[in-house]
Amino acid sequence: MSSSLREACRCWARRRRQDVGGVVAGYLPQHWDGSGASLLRGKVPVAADPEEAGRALYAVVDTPPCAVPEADGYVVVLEPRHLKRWRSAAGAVAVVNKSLWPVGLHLPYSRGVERAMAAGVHPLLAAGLGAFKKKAVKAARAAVEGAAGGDRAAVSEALKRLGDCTPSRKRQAPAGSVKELTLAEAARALGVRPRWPDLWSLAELCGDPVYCYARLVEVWAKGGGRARRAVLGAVMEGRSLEEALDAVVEGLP
Amino acid sequence: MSPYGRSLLLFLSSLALIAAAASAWPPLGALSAVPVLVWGEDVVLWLYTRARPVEPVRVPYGDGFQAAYDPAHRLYHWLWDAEPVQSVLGVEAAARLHELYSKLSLGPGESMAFVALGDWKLVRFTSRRYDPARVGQIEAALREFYVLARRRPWLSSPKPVAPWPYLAALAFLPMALLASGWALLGAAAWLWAVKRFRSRYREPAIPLSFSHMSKASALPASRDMLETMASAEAAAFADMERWAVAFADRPPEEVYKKFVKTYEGRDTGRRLIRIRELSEFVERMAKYNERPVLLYVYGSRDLHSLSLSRDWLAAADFWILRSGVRALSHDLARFPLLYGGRTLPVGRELVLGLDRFGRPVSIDVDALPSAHAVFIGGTGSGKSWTVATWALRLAELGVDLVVLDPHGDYRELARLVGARVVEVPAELPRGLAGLSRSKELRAVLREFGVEPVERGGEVDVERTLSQIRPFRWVDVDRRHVVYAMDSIAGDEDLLAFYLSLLLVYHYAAHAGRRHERLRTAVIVDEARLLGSGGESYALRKLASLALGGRKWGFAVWLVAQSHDDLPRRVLRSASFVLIYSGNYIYLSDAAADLRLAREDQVYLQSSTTPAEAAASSGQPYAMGVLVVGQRGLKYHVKIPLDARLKPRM
Repeated sequence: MSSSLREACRCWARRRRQDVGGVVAGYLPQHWDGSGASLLRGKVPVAADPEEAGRALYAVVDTPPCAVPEADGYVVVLEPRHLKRWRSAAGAVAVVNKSLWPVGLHLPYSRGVERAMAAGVHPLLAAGLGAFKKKAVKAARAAVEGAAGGDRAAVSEALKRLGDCTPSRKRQAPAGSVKELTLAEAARALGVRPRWPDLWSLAELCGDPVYCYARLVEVWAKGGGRARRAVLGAVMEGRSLEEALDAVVEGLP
Repeated sequence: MSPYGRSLLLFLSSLALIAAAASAWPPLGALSAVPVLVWGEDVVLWLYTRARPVEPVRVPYGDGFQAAYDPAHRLYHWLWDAEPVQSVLGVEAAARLHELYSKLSLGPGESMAFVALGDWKLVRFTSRRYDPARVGQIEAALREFYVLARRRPWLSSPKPVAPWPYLAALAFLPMALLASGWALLGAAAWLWAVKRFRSRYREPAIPLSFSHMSKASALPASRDMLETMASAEAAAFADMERWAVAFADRPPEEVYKKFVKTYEGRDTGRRLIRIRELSEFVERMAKYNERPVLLYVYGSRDLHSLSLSRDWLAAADFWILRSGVRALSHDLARFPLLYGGRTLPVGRELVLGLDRFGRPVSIDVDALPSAHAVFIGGTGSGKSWTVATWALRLAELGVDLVVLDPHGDYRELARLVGARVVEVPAELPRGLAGLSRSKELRAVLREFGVEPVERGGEVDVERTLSQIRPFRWVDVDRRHVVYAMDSIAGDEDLLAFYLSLLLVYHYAAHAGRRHERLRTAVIVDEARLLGSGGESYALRKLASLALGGRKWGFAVWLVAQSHDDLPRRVLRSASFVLIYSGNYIYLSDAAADLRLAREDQVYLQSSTTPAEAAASSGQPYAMGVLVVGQRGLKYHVKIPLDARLKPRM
């Protein structure tokens, strides 16, 4: 593929993501042991393939090194043992996972994280682990800000050099051994601020604020005056906001 | 000073005095509970609203038309959806608003509030008494100025207020340590005050609360100032995301006391200044019969002329109305209380464009008595483009389109909606053959001097029309049809004939079949062609269509270059009229006939054409004055035009 055409494809992909709006998506390939990404199930929309995940503004894609999807930039999560074989010339931003020492952009090793993962709870959603979460957010921000480069072929090549596509086995811990936070609580703990605070203040009236917030953003973007009036009217009259949003969204074009 | 500021000052100064006294005699420290009991709620309210909005708890009360009852302040609130029946802004609205105020005759403990949340307008009546008969009187008075629909009560949010104000009890510790241990009673009273506050208040959602309130104690009394500022202030409010103004009668004893205090003051210099200020006040009362009122002003943005500034106290004060601004009744003209009315939502909404504040202007095609429209403007003003843009939206609402297109301007519309394009005169709809017995057909043929070919007492339509131009029948089997006549665009007589023929055909096709909901829109471009040579049969038929079409489920949209091109009764029956800019001489002449005010003419004279708008901003716009006939609502509109309809631009 020529560089100008590649650039055009990237521009198109960027525009498409902007058209669709900012959504986090997860991709779980069936043939890969995605125990990390599988923890996102039920929390964020799960894409059927890398293409669909690529339509989100930010996608968490847990693929084997041999199946790297097309993107505008790459953040590669490496194990410490891969560092000596990783070629930064690939252009992707590297984050070292479970690092015992401060090595560039890294996530520190934490026994609590291991316990949460083994119990089937995503570490960002597990209660406690405050220091780990702060570091994770800081590393994620730095990684995303720097991830504007990376060539798909070069990244694939560099990843293949690190090892094969065979997934490693994970040990399981009993379910319920780690307390899980709701998405709203996790967002607050991570310092995530809603882009539209007015709509978030409405969403806080729901049982599931994150769900209602997503619906409210959709209604406010596409619905027009009558849709907003219907939602606000439901809140004023003390009726269920979730039901009102579901009804309005169903009627949207 | 506002009541909350006064409470805070009294609270702090009382505590300071008690602390000073308690250092001399410690048991006096127990008195620290007294300011908390007296002013504690105001202070907690003030403190909490430094961070977040609050509103008093409100519960539904009563049967039938329920009120929202605030048990803490013993207030009842009734709510209506309200759309103004006219469209006036600024000091022009003053007399009408004064009339509204007088007819309401608000008594002690009563107030009215006008609320705008985006383009949603509400009216709230608040009273200390639960009196359904009084509510009926208020409603009757309001109906003259607004189209009202009762609403269920506006209840408080379920979200409780946060518990952090309890921590403020720690502020009594220094007093306890330095002055007297008895001051801890104040801390206990504070905890009780916060508990009571938390039971009486809730935290509302931001889209349903106000973040700004007026800090002024009185508005300037000068009439000149009112006339200068009213339009600008009303426009500023109309531009806000949400705003509200409540008003109540100012007790006459208070006005009298102010007058006495001014007149009998000892300081001559100050007395003269006050008399001068009061004279403007008295002059307005005498000359314009204004009454003293209290205004409670809330918004979502700063407005310096009314001292509107950010304070979450607005969310609570909107319900308890303690921080009023002294004013006179014509000062209500500073707010757009009679502007921007819309039809109530009944059925399908047709979005037409944006008003001068960038808010969408729309009509409900099922609410209006008819959906007939007239578009008047010179060449190049964007009439056909506007009609095509709106026709596209009508098609999305499920309305079938019939377009009589003398110049082929609607081909792109046809492509976008999948319409059948009938190339007149080479093609004609097969249904025309069914008019063989129609007297309307004979009248049109007679008018244009076409000799009908008779067959068995009926007109042989095919042979008659073949005399004029050879053609073939086509089946119009789709929802939408465009009759393109650009092949004969140079021959106006021929155009007029075919326009009349097709109009009469569609009239016959639809008339007589009752269908209350709008189903078909018949768009006639260059309607002047129907009237060439005096009032034609087709124009008379058009007038019948316009007057009776609503019950037969269709609307007629006429596009003309001048209002003189159409019979007056067609203009009179139009549900909405869109007037574009034109030659300045034409505008001056048309102003009287079309009831254009001075500011309408100024707006039209400053309009840009779609080509200019596209060149400067990339988005083509048409600009015009839209009059919705139902209530004489008038808007200065900017209509974003669909670029797909003119790909070459």
